[in-house]
Amino acid sequence: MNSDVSGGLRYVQYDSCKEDIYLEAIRQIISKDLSEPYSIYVYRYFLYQWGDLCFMALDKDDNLIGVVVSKLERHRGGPMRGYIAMLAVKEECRGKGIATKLVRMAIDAMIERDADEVALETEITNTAAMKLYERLGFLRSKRLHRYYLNGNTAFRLMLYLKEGTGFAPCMHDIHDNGEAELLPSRGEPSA
Amino acid sequence: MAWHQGNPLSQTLFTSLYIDKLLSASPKALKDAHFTHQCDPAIHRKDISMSLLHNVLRAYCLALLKCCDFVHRRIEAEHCYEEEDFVTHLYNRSLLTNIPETELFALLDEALWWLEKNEVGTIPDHLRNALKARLQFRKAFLGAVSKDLGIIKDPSTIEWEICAKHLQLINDSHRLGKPVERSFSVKIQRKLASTVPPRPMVNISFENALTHLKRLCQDGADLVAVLDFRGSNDLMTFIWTFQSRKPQPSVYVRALLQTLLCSEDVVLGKISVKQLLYYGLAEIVLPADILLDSQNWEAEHPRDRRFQIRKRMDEFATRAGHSYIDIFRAICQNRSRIRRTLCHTLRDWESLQMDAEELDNELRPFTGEEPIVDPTISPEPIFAFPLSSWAYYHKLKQMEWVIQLGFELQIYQPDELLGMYCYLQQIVQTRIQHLERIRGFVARKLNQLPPTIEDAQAQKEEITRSLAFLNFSMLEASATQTFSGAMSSFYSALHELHFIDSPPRPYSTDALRYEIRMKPFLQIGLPELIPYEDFRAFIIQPQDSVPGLLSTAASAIARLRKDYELMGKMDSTTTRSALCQEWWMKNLKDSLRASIATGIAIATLLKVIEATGWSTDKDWHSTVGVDLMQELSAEGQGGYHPFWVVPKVIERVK
Repeated sequence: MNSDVSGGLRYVQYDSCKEDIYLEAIRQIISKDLSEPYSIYVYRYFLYQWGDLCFMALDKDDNLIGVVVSKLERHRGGPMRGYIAMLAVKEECRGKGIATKLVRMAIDAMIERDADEVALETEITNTAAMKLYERLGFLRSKRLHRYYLNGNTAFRLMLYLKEGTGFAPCMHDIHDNGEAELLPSRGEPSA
Repeated sequence: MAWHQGNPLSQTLFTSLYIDKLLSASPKALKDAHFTHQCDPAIHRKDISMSLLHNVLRAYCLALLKCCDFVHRRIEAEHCYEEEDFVTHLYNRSLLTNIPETELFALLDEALWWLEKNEVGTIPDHLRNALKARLQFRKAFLGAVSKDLGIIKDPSTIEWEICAKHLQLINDSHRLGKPVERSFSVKIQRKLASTVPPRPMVNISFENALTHLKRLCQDGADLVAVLDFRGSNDLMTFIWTFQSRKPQPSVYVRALLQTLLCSEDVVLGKISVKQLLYYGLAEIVLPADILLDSQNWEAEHPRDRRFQIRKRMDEFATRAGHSYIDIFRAICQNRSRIRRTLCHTLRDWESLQMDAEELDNELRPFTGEEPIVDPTISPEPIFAFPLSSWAYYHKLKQMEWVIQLGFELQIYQPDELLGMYCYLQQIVQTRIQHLERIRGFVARKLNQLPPTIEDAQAQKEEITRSLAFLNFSMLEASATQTFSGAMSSFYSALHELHFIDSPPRPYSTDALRYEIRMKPFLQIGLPELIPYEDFRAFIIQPQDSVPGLLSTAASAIARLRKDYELMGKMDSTTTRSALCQEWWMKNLKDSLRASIATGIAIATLLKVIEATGWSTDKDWHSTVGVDLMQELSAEGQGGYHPFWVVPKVIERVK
C-alpha cells in the first residue's frame, strides 16, 4: 500500500481488500458534509473501479480524517478525464492543508495514468473548496443552474494537464445535457 | 410557488393532505373530487366549518390544481431542463387535465356567491373579504394561464392586472391566517409513484412566495408587448432585454415566451421562420434587395434569373432559418444555460457562415453584382457577400455574449479579468470593422438607386432605415469597445501595482488555462483565436507606465459617457428598443453608472499616485494605504451592471 507521512498523519491509497475497515468510515465522513445522500452503490461504483484514485488521511490511531474519491475515464470518446467526485475532511481538522494534500495525491495518480484533464463540480457558495482547487490551477468553465438536488447552483471546474486537450474531438450532444459524470453523484462536499 | 421555483410536486403541493384527498380517487369529473365520501349539501349548509371546507376550500384547491395543469402543460411542451429549471414529474396523478376550466370558473363563482350571501351569517367581514380576495385571485390567475397562446388573438393584460390587485389584498390580510402544519405531510410521498427516496418538504416564506408571484404576474403582463414586434432586431432586443431583468422571469413565463416565439414554424402567431429570417437579412445586409424580392416567387422558368435566385434563397432559408430561431430560443433559457447553449450554437454559425459564402458566390452571376474596385483597400475586387456577412455578424454577436455572460455568471477569477476584457475588446473591434464593411455596401446601394423608377422612394426609405440601425449598432459596439479597453488598461495597472495577484497553481500553466478559457472559441476559424504567446504580449504592455495606463483608461471613460448619452437620445425605432424602451433605458443607465464608478476608481488611484508616487513593489499599496474591493457580487446583483466588474479603490483613513 502506498503511504506517505506528513503532519502526524498518514496518507494512504485505498485498497479494495480494506473495504471492511474503511468503507463505512468513508461513507460517514462524506455523508456528514454532503448536501445530498449517496447510496452504497455510488461508493462501490467508484471504489471498485478506481480504488487506486481514492486517498485517505489517517491519524496515528488509524482513524479516518479525510478522503478523496475520484475516477478516470475517456470523456465522450475524447480526452482522458479525471473526475474528483467526493472530498471531505473532518471538521475539526480543516485548515491544515489535508484536503489539498489529498487532492494533489489524486491528481498525481491521474497524471501517472496519463490523464489529459481533471474536472469536478462545486457549489458556488463553497468558497473554501473553490479556493483550494483554484490555487492548484483549476478554472471555472461553466455555471450549472440548480445543479444539486437541494436547488443549489454549481460551478464546473476544469484543469488541463496537457496542451491541445481543448482541441480533442469529442462527441457532443447539442443541448449539452450529458454533463453529469454519474448520477446521483452530483455532490461535492465542502473541503 | 416553491413548485414554480423548480422543486418537485412531491415536496411542495403534493404534501397537502387536502390536495391528496381530492386527487387520490383520480377524479374524471369535478363531482368526483371531494374531501369526503359523503357529500350531503344540506349538512354542509348547517355547519359553518363544513360549509367553508366544501364550498370555499374545495373550490380554491381545485382551481389551484387547474392552474398548475396549465402551467405544467406549457412548460412541458417547451424546451426546459428537467430538475434544473423545473420538475415536470406528476407521480401518475392528473392535474384535472380533462376537466374544462369553465367548470372551475363556475365553481369559484359559486364559492364567491356563497361567501357573498353569507347564509350562515357567522363569518366576520374581514375574514370574508380575505377569503374572497384569495378566490378572486385564483379566478384571475386561472384566467391568465388558461388564456395561454390566446394572447396572440387577444393581447390584453387585464387578467394579470387583476391578479396584481388581489395579491395586494392577500398580502394585507395575510396576518389573519394561522399556519396549520398538520395539513401537510411528507409521508404522502410514499403513495406517489416515484423512484426517488423521500425528500423533505420545501418550505419557502410567505414573503418569498409573494415576491415571486408578483413578479410572475408582472412578467406575464409585460410579455404581451412582444406581440407588437416590427422586425427581427426589434424582437431580439426585446427578448434579450426582457431576459436580462433581475430576477430573471420565471420558468413559466420563459416557456410561454418560447412557445409564442415559435410554434409549428410560426413566429408569434404571425409570420413564418423564413419571413423572420428575411426581415433580419433586410435590416442588416439586404435592404430593398433583389435577393429578398417577393417577385422572385412568381418566376417559374429555370432560365429566369429570379427563378435561380429563389432556388438558392430557399436553400438558404432552410439552412439558416432554424439556426436563426435557435439564437432567439437560446436567450429564453436561464442565464447559465444561455451561455452554455451559445457556446454550442457558435459552432453551428461557424459552418453556416461557410455555407452562406458558397451561396453568395453562386448567387453573384444572377444578381450581376459589381464589385468595389479600390486598390487603396485591396488589389482584388471586393464583393458584398451579404449572406455570409450576415452570418458573421451574428456569430460575432454571440461570441460577445458568451464573454459578457462569463462576467455576469462570475466564471472568471480576478486575475482573468484583464485578459477577458482585452479579448472582449478585440471581438467587438472585429464586429465594428465588419459593420463598417456592411455599411459601406448598403450606403453604396443608396447612392446607386436610379432616381427614375417608381418605387425608388420606398427603396430609399428601407435602405435609410438599415443605415440608421447600422450606425446605431456601430455606436453601441464602439461604446462596448471603449469600456472594455478602459477596463483592460485599468486592470493592467492594478496588476502592475500588485492589487491583483495570481495563486501559485502548481498543476497548471498560463497557456493551459488559456486553452480552457478559450474552449468555446477554439473551433472558430474566423476570427481565428490568437496563439497564447501573442495574447500574452497583447495584454502585457510593459512599455506603458502605470500613470500612462490610468490616464488612457480615464480618457476612454470620458469618451464613453458621450457615447452613452448619444445612445439615450436616439429614437427607439432606430435602436430597435420600442417594445421595451423602459428596461432598455435602465440597462443603458446601469452601463453609464458602471462607467462613472470606474472613472471614480481610476481618479482615486491617480490622485494617490500624484501625491505619493508609485512603485511596482509588492507592498506599495499597503504602504500608501490603498485597498481594492472588487464588486464581484452574487449573480451580478448589487453591482452596477453585470457585464462590468468595477473595482473599487479605497483609501484607508490615516
